[in-house]
Amino acid sequence: MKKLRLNDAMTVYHETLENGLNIYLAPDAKRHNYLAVYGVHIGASTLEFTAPSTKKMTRFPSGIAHFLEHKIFAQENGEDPFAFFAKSGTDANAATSYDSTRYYCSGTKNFKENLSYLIDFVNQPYFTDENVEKEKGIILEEYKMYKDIPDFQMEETLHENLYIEDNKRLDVLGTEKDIQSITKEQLYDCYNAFYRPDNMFIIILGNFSEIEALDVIKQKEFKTCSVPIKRKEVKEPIKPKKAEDILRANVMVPKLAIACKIDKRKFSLSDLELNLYLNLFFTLTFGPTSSFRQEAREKQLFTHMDYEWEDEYSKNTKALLVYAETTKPDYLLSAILERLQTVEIRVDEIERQKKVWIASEYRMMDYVGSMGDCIYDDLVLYHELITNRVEKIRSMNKRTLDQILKNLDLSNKTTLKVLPKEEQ
Amino acid sequence: MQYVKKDLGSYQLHLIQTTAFKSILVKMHFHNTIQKEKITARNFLVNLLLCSTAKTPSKREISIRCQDLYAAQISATNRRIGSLMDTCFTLSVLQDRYTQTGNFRKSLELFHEILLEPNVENKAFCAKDFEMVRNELETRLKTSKEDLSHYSIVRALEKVDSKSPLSIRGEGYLEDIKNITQESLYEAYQTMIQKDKIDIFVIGDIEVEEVMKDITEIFQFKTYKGKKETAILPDPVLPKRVRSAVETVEAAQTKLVMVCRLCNLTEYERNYPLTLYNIILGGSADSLLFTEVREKNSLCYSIRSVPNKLDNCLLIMAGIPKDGKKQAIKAIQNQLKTLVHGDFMEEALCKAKEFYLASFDAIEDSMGRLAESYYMMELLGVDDIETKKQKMREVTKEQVVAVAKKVKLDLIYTLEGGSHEETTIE
Repeated sequence: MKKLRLNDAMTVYHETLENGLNIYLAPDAKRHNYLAVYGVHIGASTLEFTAPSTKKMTRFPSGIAHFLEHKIFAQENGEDPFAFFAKSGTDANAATSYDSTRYYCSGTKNFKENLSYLIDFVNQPYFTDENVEKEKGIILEEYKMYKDIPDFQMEETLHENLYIEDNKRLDVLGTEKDIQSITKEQLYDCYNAFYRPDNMFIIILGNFSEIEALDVIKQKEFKTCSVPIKRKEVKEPIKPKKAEDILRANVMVPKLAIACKIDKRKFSLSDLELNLYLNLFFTLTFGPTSSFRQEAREKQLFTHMDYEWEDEYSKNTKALLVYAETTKPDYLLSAILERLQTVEIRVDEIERQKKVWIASEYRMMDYVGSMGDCIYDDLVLYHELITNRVEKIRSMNKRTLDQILKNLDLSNKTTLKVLPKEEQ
Repeated sequence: MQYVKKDLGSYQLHLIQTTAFKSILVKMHFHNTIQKEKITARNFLVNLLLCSTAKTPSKREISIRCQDLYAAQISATNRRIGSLMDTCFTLSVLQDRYTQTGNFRKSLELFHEILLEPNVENKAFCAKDFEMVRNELETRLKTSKEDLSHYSIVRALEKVDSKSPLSIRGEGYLEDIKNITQESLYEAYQTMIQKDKIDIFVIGDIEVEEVMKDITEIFQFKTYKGKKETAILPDPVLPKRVRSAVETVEAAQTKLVMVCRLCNLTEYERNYPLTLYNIILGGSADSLLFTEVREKNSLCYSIRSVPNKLDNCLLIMAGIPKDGKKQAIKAIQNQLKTLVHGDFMEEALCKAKEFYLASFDAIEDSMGRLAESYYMMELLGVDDIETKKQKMREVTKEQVVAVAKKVKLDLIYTLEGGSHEETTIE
C-alpha cells in the first residue's frame, strides 16, 4: 500500500489491485464510526455505450443508472441488504449523480462483515421481470416527489435550456416514460458494461484497520473484463439551447436562474486549478464578503442567492449555475451582469479567501462523512486523490486570476425566470 | 473525554474536553416557555443580531471579521422543544494550534459582540437592518408553503390541536410580522437575555481552566433566572374516533401524515421502549413501514415515523399516489396492529437496539451531537450516555408492546395532489 499524506495532516493508504480496483483507506483511531463507500464511474449522463450483450453502441433509456442503483439491492437469496446491515446497527444507502453511483455503509460494529457484504451485494445483482416491474412504482413516487419541488423544476428547466447534446439536459431519475420502459435486460447490460473493478473504487474512513480492510477486499471475487468501456463521446456545443425562458410554477416568490457554459479548453490550467480560480472569482464577487451581496441585500434585490459549478471528468465544457429568490428578477439579472463586467478583485481579498479555504480543509478532517465526500468528489471529478490542495490554494495569486478572467467568456448563457402561476 | 459543569448563577457553563477534533464548538442556548405570539419576533431577532453590531455596522463586515479569525463561523437557530422555545447561537472555530495564539479568545469576543453589543440606538434596532431582515423573513414565511412535505406536517399538527404548543409553527407567522417594530424587537431582546435560562457549552481540545476564565470574563449576564420548567406537554385528550382531514393542492404526489398520540406514557417508556418501538415501526430502512408499504406494496418512495416524546405524539409520514391512499393507510394501520399484538420477532428488537447503540457510539464523533446530548441531560433531566445505553439494552419485547398499546391513532391528514398538471413553459 502506498502511504499518502493529505495536506500533511492526514494519512490515506492507496492501492490499485491487479484487476484495476482502486482502494483508498483513511483509518482514524480517534473516531468511533467508519464509513465504507463502493463507487462506480457511471451516472445519469452516460446513456449511450457499447452494450455487452450485442457489442453495439446502444442508446439506453434515461434514468437507467439510477434505476440500476435501486435494483442493486435485490439479492437472489431474497435477503434485504438493509436488514443485513441493521443487524449490527449499521446505516446503508446509495446515491446516483450525473457521473457516478455510490453504495455505502456507516457504523461502529462488524466492520469486516459489513465491508464484505457491501462488496458482495453490489457485485451480485439479481434482476427479474417481476422485481424490476415492482421497482417502477417506487421510482415513480420518487420522481413525483421531486416534481413537486419548485427549486427542482427550476434546475430541471435550466438544464434543458442549457445543454444540447449532454445528457445533463435530462434529470438523473429520467423521464416518466423512460422509467416505465426499463427492462431487466437493459439493467444487466448497463451493469455488465460498467460495474467492473477497473471502473470502480473503494473508500474507507474512520475507525478500522487498513490491514484488515485490504485483506477483506483482496479475498473477494471481482468479475473482470478486458474489453475497454466505450461510451459515446459527447461534444457539447458552447452555445446554450435557449437564451431565455419563463417557467410558471407553484412559487410564492419569483426565482431567477442563470447558467453559463464555459469552454474548458481555453484555459491552460489543470481542472483543479481552474476550479479553484473560478470559485475564487465568484466567491469574492458574490459571496458573503462581497460588496455586491451587501448592497443587493440592502436594496432588497434578493432574499437568497447561491451558485455552483457543474463539471464532469473529460468533458469539454463546465457550467456556472446561479440561483436566486427575488421579487425583482430583471433588476437582479442586470445587476449581476453589470457586476461581472466591472468587479475588481484585490490582493488582500484573495489572501483572506485563501485563509478561509485552508482552514476549511483542516476542519473537514473532524468529520468522517465530510472527508469521505471530499475524497469521493476528487475520484469522480479528477480521477485521482488530490493530496496537496492546501499547497495549491497557498500558491494562488492575482496574476493568474487576471489571466483567467481575460479568457473567461460568460456570454454563452441562458436565463430562466420562475414566476407564480397566478400572474399568468 | 472530560465533562465539567459550573453553575455561574446567571448561566450554567458546560465544558467538554476531547482531543478528537481540530476545531472548538461553542453553543449558547436560551430557553423559556414557548408563546405563539412571540415566536415570529424571536426568529426576526436572531437574524437581526447576526446582521451587525454596535461596532461592526454590516453583515459583510461581520463576515470579513469571521474570515480573519480563520473562518470562524457564527450562526443561530430557533426551535420548539415541547413547551419550550430554544434559541441557540453557535460559534465554531479552529483551535489556536492550527491558527495563531489568541484566535479563539478573539472569536469569543466577536461572539460576545454579536450577542451582547447589538446595533441599537434609542432602544430600537438599526432601521436599515430591520427592513432587510423583515423582507427576508417575510419571503421565507411565504415560501415555506412551497415545501409540501413540511407544509403537510405543519397543517396536520394544526388540525390535531390548534391550541396546543405542538401546533406552533417554529418558523413563525406571516401575519405577525406587521406588528413587529424596531422598538418591540429591542424589548424582546432584553427579555431574552434577562429572563431566558442560559446554558453555554464549549467542546473541543480545550484547557478547561483557561476556557472557564475566558468565558466568565467575557460573558457576564447579571440577571434573575426563574425556576426550571417542564418541557413535556400534558397528556392528550383523545377524540372518540379517528379523525381525518383532507386538503388539496396542485401537486403530483399526495402527502400522508398520520398523527398518533402517546397516552399515559411513563418516564421510562418515554425515554426507552418508545425509541425502540419507533425504530421497529418506521425509524430505519429495515422498519416495518419501509418493508411493507414501500418494498412489498410499492406504494411510496419515502415513509418514516418520528416520535416526539415531549409532545406525546408520533407522526407517520409518506408520499403516496393519490389513488393509493386507502391501501397505504390500511397497510400502515396493519403495522401499528402488528406491534400492538407483539407479532414481531425478538430479532427485530435486537436490531433496533443495535441501531440505537451504534448511533450512540458515534455521538462522540460529532461535536454538535455531543453538545445536544449534554443539553438534553440538562434541560430534560434524562440519563447520561452510558446509563442510557445500559437501560436501552435491558428493554424487553413486553415493554415495547406495552408502549404500542399506548400509541393511539388520532388524525389522518392528507395533502392531496390534484390532477398532475405539467408546468407551463412560455
